[in-house]
Amino acid sequence: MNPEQLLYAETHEWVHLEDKGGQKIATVGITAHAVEQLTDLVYMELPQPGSSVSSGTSFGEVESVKATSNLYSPVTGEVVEVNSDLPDNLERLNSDPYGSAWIMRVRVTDEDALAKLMNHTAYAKQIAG
Amino acid sequence: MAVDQMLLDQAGASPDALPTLRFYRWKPATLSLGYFQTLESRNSHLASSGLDVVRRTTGGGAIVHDRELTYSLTLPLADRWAAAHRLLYDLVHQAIIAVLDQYGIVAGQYVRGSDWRDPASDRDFLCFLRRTQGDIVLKGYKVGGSAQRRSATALLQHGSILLGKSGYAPELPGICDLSIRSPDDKSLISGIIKELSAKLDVEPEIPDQTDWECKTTRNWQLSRFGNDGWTGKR
Repeated sequence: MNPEQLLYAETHEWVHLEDKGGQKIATVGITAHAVEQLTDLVYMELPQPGSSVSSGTSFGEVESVKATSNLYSPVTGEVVEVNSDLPDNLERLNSDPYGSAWIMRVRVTDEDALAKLMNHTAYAKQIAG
Repeated sequence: MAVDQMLLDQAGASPDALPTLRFYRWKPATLSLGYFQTLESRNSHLASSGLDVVRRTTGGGAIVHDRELTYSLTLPLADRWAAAHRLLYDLVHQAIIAVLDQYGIVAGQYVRGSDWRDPASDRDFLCFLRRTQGDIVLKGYKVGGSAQRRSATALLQHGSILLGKSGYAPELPGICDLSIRSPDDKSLISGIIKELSAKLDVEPEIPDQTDWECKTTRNWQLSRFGNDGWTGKR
C-alpha cells in the first residue's frame, strides 16, 4: 500500500479504507515510525476475529525487548480478519509495514470516528515534531 | 504489583504529575513472570517451583524476588512510542552504577557483543540470563535490568537489582557474591534517590497515601495480581 494514500491515528496506526459489497472495510497496521521507535520486537498479540474494537481503545499488545505497549484501534467496528502469520514473522513490520505486516481488517460500524484520522501530510508533520 | 498499577493509573490521569519512584522487597519470596510468558513455562525451572507466582504487566523474563530489590518508576506520557523513553533505562541504571561505585563495585552497562543473542529467539526463562543493551552487568553477570509498560497516557518502568544469590535461583550470583563489599538495601535506595534527584534536579517528596490509592490498589489486587485468571492467562 502507498503510505501517502493511507489515513493515520495520532497513536501511530495506519488505516486503509475500501468498500466491499457496500461495507466499509478498514485494514489496520502500525507505522514505520512506530516500528522504528519500538525496535527489536519479540511478541505481538492480536484480537480475535469476530471481536469488537472501538476507536481509541486497546485491541492488542506488542512487546519489544524493553517495552510492552498496547495497540489502539483507529476505527470502530467488528474484526473480520487478522494477520495470524504476523506474530511469528515480526520482521515484516520492519521490512514491509504498509503491506504484509497489516494487523487486522475491521468492518467499520461507526464512520464518525474516521473523521479524527489524519492524512499522510498531517501525520508526517506530527512525527516531525 | 497492584500498587505499581495504581501509580500507572494515577500518572495517566494527570499529565502534569511528577514521576513516582518506589522501591520494595518481597515476602515471601515470589516468582514473577514476564507479561508474555506462559504459566507452564515455570515448569522449566525446578529451583523456583515451590514459590508463589504472579504475572507482571511488564515484559521480559521471569524474576525470583528473594535477595533482590525491585523498583518502579511511573510518569505521564505524551507519546508512548517516543524513543526518548529508552533514556529512562539508562538514567536509572547509571544512578545504580554510580551508587555501587561508591562501594568500590565497578559495574557497567551491557553493550552488544559476541554473546548477544537475537531477542526474538532468546527464550531463557529467567530475566537475569537474558541480555539486552543497557542492562547492569558486573564481572560478566547481569545484576540489574528494567522493562517498561506503556499505556496511552503513562509509563511504568519496572526494574530489579540482584543483591545476592537465592536458593530459588542458584545459577544467578548477585552483587554481594561478586564483590567484597556491598551496600545494604537501605543505603542502596537512599543512594539511588540522591543520584536521580541530582540528575533530574528535583527535590524528592514522600507523599501520604490517599483513600483513592488504597481503594484502587485493592481493586487491582482483586481483579488482576491476586487473581488466578490473570496469572494463568497464558
